[in-house]
Amino acid sequence: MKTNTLNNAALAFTVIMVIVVIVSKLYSEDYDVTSENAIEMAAGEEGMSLQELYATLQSGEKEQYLFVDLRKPDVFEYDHIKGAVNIPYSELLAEKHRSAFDNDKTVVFYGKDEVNSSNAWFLLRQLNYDNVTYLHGGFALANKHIIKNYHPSYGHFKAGKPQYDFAKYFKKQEKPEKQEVEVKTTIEVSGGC
Amino acid sequence: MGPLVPFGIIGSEFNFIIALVLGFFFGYILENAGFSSSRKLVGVFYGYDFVVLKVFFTAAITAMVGLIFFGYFGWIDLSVVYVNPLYLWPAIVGGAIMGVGFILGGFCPGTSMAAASIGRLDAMIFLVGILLGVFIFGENFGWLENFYTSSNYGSVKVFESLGISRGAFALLIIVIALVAFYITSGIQNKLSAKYATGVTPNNKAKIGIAVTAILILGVIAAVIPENKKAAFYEISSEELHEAMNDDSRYAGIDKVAFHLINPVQSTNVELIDVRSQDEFNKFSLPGAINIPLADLSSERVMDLLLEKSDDKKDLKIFYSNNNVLADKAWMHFRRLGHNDFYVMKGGLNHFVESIFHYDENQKPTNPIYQQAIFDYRFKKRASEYFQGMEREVKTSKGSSAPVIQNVEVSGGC
Repeated sequence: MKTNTLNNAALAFTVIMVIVVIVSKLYSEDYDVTSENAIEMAAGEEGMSLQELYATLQSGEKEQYLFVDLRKPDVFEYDHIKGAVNIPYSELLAEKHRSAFDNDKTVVFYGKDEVNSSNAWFLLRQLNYDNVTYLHGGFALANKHIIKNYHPSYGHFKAGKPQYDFAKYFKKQEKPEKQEVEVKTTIEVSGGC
Repeated sequence: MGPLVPFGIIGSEFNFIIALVLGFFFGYILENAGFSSSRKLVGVFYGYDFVVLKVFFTAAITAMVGLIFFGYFGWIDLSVVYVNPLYLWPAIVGGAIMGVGFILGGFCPGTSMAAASIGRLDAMIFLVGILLGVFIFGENFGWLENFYTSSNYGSVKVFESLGISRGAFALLIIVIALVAFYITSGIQNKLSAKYATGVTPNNKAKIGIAVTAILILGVIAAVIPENKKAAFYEISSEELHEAMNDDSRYAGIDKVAFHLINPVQSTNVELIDVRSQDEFNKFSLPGAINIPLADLSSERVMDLLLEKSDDKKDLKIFYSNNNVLADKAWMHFRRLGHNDFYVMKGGLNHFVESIFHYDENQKPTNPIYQQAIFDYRFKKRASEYFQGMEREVKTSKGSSAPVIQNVEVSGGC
């Protein structure tokens, strides 16, 4: 009878341990967004244009936004968007900065360029935060042409746009339509009875 | 983490030592379970003792549930675990021969070893039979070979053929096993009082708990999501952030320009244009393939980019108009644990600035700055090359641009 009780206890213990581990794993999920969904979001995210930044600063409705400056503290001290908080790019995930993201304001990342700010956005977006976005261009550009001295032609600046007519530079390159374009098409049919 | 041998965590030499130790304990357990007695073994065919069936089912369920949980926790990559390929007809014929031998001799190969090692004469004669069989098979392999390798279906898995998940299949097997245990216990009790088994007042609670436990584990196995191969290698957000702070992912413009000018010398470079198809059609670097960012995660693209073979390009460089989109593509693959992807620094905008917008007047002349002079000369030649001033652009093998279209049709009834 004694071994029976022992066996039962061991069995029950094993089952409980498995359940505990599974439940704890379910709740300690690192990424909240699967990599598939994340890359689709990256392709679809518009970000905040400099035009919108100008409109926001002009109307004074800054309360709905929290600007996060990703540059180093000394540069931040020198100059930054009014009301912005400084979270250096390298400290993005630090526990002490988490509270900045946990509010109902839209968090707008900006940094020395759009690559930094959009990368920060992409990382945070894959974690729990769906209230984040990023500013087009970098701080220097926004400061010079939007905040200090508004120039409408910069309103639609986006680093991802082509700045040159690339084809012009590659004169002797054959045009893509002349090339034999190999179209790889795979049709996957799954299912059936 | 695992599997330990294919990932090189356990060396292939040490592998054999582990096999020896495992084999020793396997034999020890077989002997202790009474499997060195042919009476016990063949009981399953005569219906008086089903312990063989119970042991094999129990072993299978333990391993199965264990592997599913290990896979879920990320301790083992189930897609690397070797599964014997199915040769349908040879397997049926071989199984029949083995079954006849089992009934005639009273042992299966493993148990005959265990029995022979404790000195049973019949098992030793059985072993001689095995060796004879091996010899005859080997001598006749020439004309048996065609049949031996026929009807190969590859490494098929039952749950895939049934179209259900791994976990659901495990639950199904558990239920089948429990029903089989119940029925065989009934048969056994009717046939002989000596081998009576099953539920008695003594072990009622014990069996009840065991059945409940295995059913709970089975249900959990059926409902937890299957860890995809991709998720197995996934790095944490901290690691990803650390990698983002490191600039080693950037491939310089010079490197890409060198590749474009000398495609024959740098065949290991693959340029991947992650911009939209429209932009790609307007202009693309020679030899680049176009995979718009949103298509990156499709299974087919992943297979294409991650395919490993000797002649595969191992320097895969993403580019877009600048770094923004290409960095996202890089982050996507870095998160999934791949570190052989690169980003063309500054994208096409920087390419133009760096190669074509060099200043004739700022030609470095001081021989102390040798590197600067080399860089200047390279840019000058590269820009002349791309603008076709000196020579024609060679039509390299890679200059046809494959466009990847993703057509997935899924359906069913």
